[in-house]
Formats: sequence, C-alpha cells, structure tokens
Amino acid sequence: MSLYLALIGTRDNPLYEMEIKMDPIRDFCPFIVHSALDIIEDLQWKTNQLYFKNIDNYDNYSISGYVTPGNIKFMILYQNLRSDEAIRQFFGELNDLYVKTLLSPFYTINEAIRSKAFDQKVRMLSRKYFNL
Amino acid sequence: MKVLSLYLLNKSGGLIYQRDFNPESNGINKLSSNDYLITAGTLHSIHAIVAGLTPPVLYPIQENQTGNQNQTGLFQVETEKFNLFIYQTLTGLKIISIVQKGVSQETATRFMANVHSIYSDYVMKNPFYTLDMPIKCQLFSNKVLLLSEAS
Amino acid sequence: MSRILSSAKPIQGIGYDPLIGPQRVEEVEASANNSTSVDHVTPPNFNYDRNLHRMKHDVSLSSFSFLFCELVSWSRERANGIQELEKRLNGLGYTIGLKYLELLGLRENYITNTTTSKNGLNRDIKIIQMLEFIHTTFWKALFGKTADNLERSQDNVCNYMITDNDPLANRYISVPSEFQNFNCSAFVAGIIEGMLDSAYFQADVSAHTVETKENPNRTVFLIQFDEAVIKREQIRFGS
Repeated sequence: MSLYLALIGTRDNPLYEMEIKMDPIRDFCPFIVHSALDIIEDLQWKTNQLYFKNIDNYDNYSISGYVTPGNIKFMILYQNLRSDEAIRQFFGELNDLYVKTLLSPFYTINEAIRSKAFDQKVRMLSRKYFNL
Repeated sequence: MKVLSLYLLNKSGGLIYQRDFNPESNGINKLSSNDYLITAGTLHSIHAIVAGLTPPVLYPIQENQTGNQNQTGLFQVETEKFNLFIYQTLTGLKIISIVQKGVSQETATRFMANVHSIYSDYVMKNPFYTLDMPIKCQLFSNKVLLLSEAS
Repeated sequence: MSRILSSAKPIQGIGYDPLIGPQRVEEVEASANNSTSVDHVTPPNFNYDRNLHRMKHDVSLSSFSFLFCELVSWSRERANGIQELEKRLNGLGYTIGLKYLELLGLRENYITNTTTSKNGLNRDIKIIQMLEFIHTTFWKALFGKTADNLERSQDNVCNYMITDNDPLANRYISVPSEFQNFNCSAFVAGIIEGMLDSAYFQADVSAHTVETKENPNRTVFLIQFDEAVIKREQIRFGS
C-alpha cells in the first residue's frame, strides 16, 4: 500500500506533491507521472468525465488521473490501494480543497500550494480513504 | 394626483436637479437657469431660518413614520394655485415638490420618498456622478418621469 | 530532483515546497511531534473548513452595485481613455473568471451528484457545450436568470454572441455622452474571458450596447475565439 500524489498545473508544473511509502522508486515518481500526462491530455478531449482510472502502468504500479474543469490534473501513482471508488471520492474531496485554495486572493493560478494546512488536510484525506 | 415641478437641493442649498412635468398643459413658464438657482437658494435659506425660529415646544414628540426628516424647518407653503412641500433626508438632501391644490400631504410625501429611493439607486450607484454636483443621469430622469405619470 | 536535494531539511511549519519535493512521511511525523500542539488533530482553519455548498449564494444587489461603482471609478482614475478603461475592467474580471470556473464546476457537480444518481460529467470539451454552460449555468449563478440569446455570427465563424436584455451590472449606471461606446459590462466580459481561457478555449470577449425600444440597456457580449481554437474543434469533432 503506497501512493504518490501530484497536482499538476497547466504548464506541466507540479503544484503539490505527496508520497507515502514509495521507497524503492521514490525518485522516479515525478518522471513516471509526467510521462502519463501525455496519455491523460489525449484522453481528456474524448470524454466529459473528470475521473480517469488506470490509464497507465509501471511495473506493478498503476496510475489514475483526474482533470478539473480548469484543466488542472491530479495524478496518483499507487500500488495495492483499496478500491477505485475510494480513489474517485478522494479526488472529489481533493477538488474541493483545491477550489478552497483558489479562493484565497493571495493565490494565483499555477502557483505551488505551500500551505501547511493544505498539506495536513490532504494527508488526513489519504488516511481516511486509504488507511495510509 | 398631479405633481407640477420637482427640485432637488444638496446639503449646502445648491440646486442639483430641476424638472417641470407637462409644462404646457400645466401652464408653467420656463425660467432661466439662474432664476431656478435663486429660487432654490431662497427656499433653502428660508427653511434654515424657520428651523431657527421654531420654538422647542413645537418639536414633534413621536417617531417619524414617513422618512421625512424635516421636523422643524419650512415644511409646506400653500397658495391659491398650488402647494409646495419640502422633504428632507438624513443626509441633508432636500426634495421640493410643487403639486396641484387637490393633493394631500401624505400623497406628496410618498411621492418624495419614492424620488429619494430612485435617487439612492440611480444617482448614488452611478460611478460617473460626483457628490453634490448637478445630476445628469439619464436613467434617473426617466424613472422620475415614470413615477410622476404613475401617481 | 528529490535525490539531489534530499540532504535539505524540510522547514518547520511549511507545507509543500517545490524546491524540495514531497516530504517523507517520517519527517512529517517528526515535525508534528516537535510542534507545540498537544494533540495531533489539525487546528481549525478558516479557509479549508468552510462549506462551499450552502443552499443560497446570494449577495445584496446594493452592496454589489456600490462595490462595482468604486471599481469603475478606481479604474477610471488610472486609465487614459475609454479603450484603456475597458481593458482594465476586463483584466479585473479575467482573474476572477480563471478561478470562478472551478468553483462553479464544483458546485454544479455537487448538485447533480446529490440530486441524481449519475456521476457528474461536467467538463466541457466542445465549444458549443462551453457556451451552453455559460449561457445557462454561469448566468444563472451570477444574475439569477439565463442569458437571453446565444447565436453564432453569420459572417465570421469564430464569433459568437450572447445577449442580455438587462445586465445587472449596468442597471444603475447611466453612461454620460462623452463615453458613448463604453459599457461597464466589460467587467463581466472579462470574467467570461477568464473562464474560457482556463478551459483552453482562448478567446477575446467584449461587451457592446445595442439598444432597443423596450430594453435601453441591452448588451451583447461578443466572443471571438482564436482561429487555432476553431481549427482544433474542426479537427477533433468535425465541424
């Protein structure tokens, strides 16, 4: 049970990253997720949905993605997580947190999310949905 | 109910809006703008003098229901041909209406309260209007005209 | 990146730092243990604990009018002419539009998910879907009614027009005759432009007054999509 989460902006820049127990491939996570970006950018124009499950694989890790209406991508690289439904709900709540970050007048779009409160909330969510 | 003319004065007595309704049918002569300014200034001064003259015994006791803050100054002028009412707001704006003989005080006060409401909407919320300057807002004039025809 | 800088210590009290990369879980727990708070419950945070999905999101028209009045006056002081004034108002609306699309999408998603059983499908990938979204949902959320008309221009394929017979922003504003062509809804046009840009439909949006007898304030929002966007749409979905 391990996961790596990345929020990626419209210029392919990371807005936020979080990883839990990804030790063997910890340093490769950003690159793996980056290469999956192409796939998601292709897929996003074919359907109206927000959540894309299981778009790519790396060894036995899977990648799922989520695209917001403003084209910000949430990517998760994981192994042995509970269920797809849990990931979908996790993304939903993450979207909620992201919009709340946007609402701050001191935050511009495509800026890194440095807030400690955001970090704590995301970790709380991952504990709630994935028991990590 | 027939309102004949409307004057709006700012808190220092300067005329910021003047309108005659149906001047031909009501037999109102058009004066020069200077004359209007003088009339407005005179009314303002008389209002202030009367406020000074009113003995404290006559100050109204109960709460004002109509929104007219004009408690102690010149309130009403009655002549053979017309009545004149003065309505004052909390900010010192004076609304002066000249109405036909048959019109009661309540109706005239209601009309002036509506003019005040139109003023606070279409003049105060207009970014192109500077405070205490003559009112040149098209929407305000239109709404006042509609109001005078409706009542 | 994280290997190169893994010797750097995560700074106490700061969340994600793009220069360092994701924090290790043990380090996070260590910093939580070092902090002075007694329990490991996250402290209440005004921004992240609030509810975005209340029933009504209404704001009084008067307070908006006064705020907007000051916005226009502020821009007027700093602009040297009608064009620049319109650009300033447009710019102010643009930054709002970028963020508002996300908020509106989230709220719509919440409503469809709680009232119907299907999972929200609400990213717009076609131009016409996006325009429908603006014409109905966006207008309803901001002004309480849908826009009055949505049409495509006959002479130019890239141009679309949304009409509003009584724009809320202009309701109390009488434009003096020196500013003949100026429409204060340039602000709303800016919001629309921000929304379109963040959804990857680059466009220029401007507001024009087109009077009619019954509706002296009637405004037409002209949306001019970039040629590249129209071409892309044709390639993707066949015109």
